[in-house]
Amino acid sequence: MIRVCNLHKSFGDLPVLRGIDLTIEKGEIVVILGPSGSGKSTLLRCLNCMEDPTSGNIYFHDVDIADMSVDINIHRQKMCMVFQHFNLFNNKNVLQNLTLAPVYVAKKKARKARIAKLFGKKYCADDIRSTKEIVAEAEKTAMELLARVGLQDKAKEYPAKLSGGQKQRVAIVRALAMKPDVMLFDEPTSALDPEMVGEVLEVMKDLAREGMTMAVVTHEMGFAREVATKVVFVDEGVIVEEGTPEEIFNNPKSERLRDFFAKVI
Amino acid sequence: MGNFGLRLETFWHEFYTNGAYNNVLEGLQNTLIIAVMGLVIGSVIGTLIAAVRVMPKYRIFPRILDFICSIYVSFFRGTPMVVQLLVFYYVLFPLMGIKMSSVMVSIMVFGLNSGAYISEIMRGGILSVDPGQMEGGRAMGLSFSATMIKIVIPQAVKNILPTMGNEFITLIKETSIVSFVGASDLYKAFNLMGSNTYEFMVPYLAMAIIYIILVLLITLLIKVMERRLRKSDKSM
Repeated sequence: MIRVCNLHKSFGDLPVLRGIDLTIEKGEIVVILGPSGSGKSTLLRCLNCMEDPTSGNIYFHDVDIADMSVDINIHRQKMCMVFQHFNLFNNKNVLQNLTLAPVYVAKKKARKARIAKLFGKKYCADDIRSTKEIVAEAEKTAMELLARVGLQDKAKEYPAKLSGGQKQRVAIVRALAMKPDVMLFDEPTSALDPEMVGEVLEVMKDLAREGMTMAVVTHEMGFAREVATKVVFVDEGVIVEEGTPEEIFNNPKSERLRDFFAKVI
Repeated sequence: MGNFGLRLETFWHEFYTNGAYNNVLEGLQNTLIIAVMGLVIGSVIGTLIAAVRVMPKYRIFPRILDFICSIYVSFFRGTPMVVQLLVFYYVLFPLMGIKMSSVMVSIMVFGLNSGAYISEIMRGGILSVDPGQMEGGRAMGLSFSATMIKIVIPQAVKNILPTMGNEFITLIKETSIVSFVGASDLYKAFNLMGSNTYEFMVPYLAMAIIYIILVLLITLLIKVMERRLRKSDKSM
């Protein structure tokens, strides 16, 4: 589903990624590990072009999204990201946070279809819906998603009133509301109080069981061991080792990975 | 101060009996129209310029826009407003063959001028919003402009409201220069009263009081607005 070929990224003179090749298949849960400053977050942020790669290709559904002429927004709608610091929209309540992007996308589609119809071009009749329908459907989906993470009673609250764990759960369902093909998690539990880590990991495990394709940067070794189908160890901008959790955790081949485990476990 | 009572009487006679209050009301109306319209136009221009200036500049088109905006801002911040008013009224518009009333020209100049200042206020406001908000929107597949309009600018406006109040107050007070091009504002109305009666003390005092009352009212209005906009920030 995602294929990364020889990805390089530097910030000014500082090379952060130095030739990454990575494939993420449908249904895979790829956990990216690495010491801080190794480039693992940058790698994840390059996957949806939040950071533009310096060179290399990223194929998503066989389209090279690293190409600047591609409309990245369309692809990002199918690969949603969950951030370390949640990044919920502070001026919107929880429900609006969930419906904003889906409504925006559906409205845009409807507008395009109407214009196509007007000029007698090909269009998808399903796309033409009234704003009322679009909003109603988005709100229905949003409430279902909120119920799924046990936050339906917080729908009208503003993010400032939620705890860290609640915020992150809202952020996850906000991404889910887009019905993405892939979800990217950038250290989703690192900014949380220890007692709230569990509730967020539980939601992520739930997603994994449903077969969602995920790429996760995390320091939660337990999560990696239990849920991942593939573990990637990144250091100094290259992939040092990759394999199944058993291979990586029980039988690390490289000195650097053994070193890393000695420090974190 | 011995003859203050007499001066007051002269003032009242001119104001009420001779009907000068009509001029004052007209002046007040023009002052408010010019300041409010100036602020509205300025806000629109300022927001657009600020958005251009914080745009990512990988491509050539935003860079050209940015350059044009920086020239605009440095022109309007680099010359006094009186000069701009005179240049527009006596030079630019006659050269272009446009006929416009002095109030209209004043509104335009005030709008263009405050646009330059508001753009910088707005830019500060946009930069004060957590960059994560922009990232959050972009990661969901919203475009730069959609994220700006729906997420960042509403939060920026909340942050800059006190400064915008300041700008509005400045505009109200600056309207006293529009009589340079013959528009009848508060200053002109009271000045006329003074010239008619050869008595300037009370008219100018009254003028000062009216300005103060206006400014106090605006301050109050902004306070109310701020409180309403802050409702999403209250944490638990």
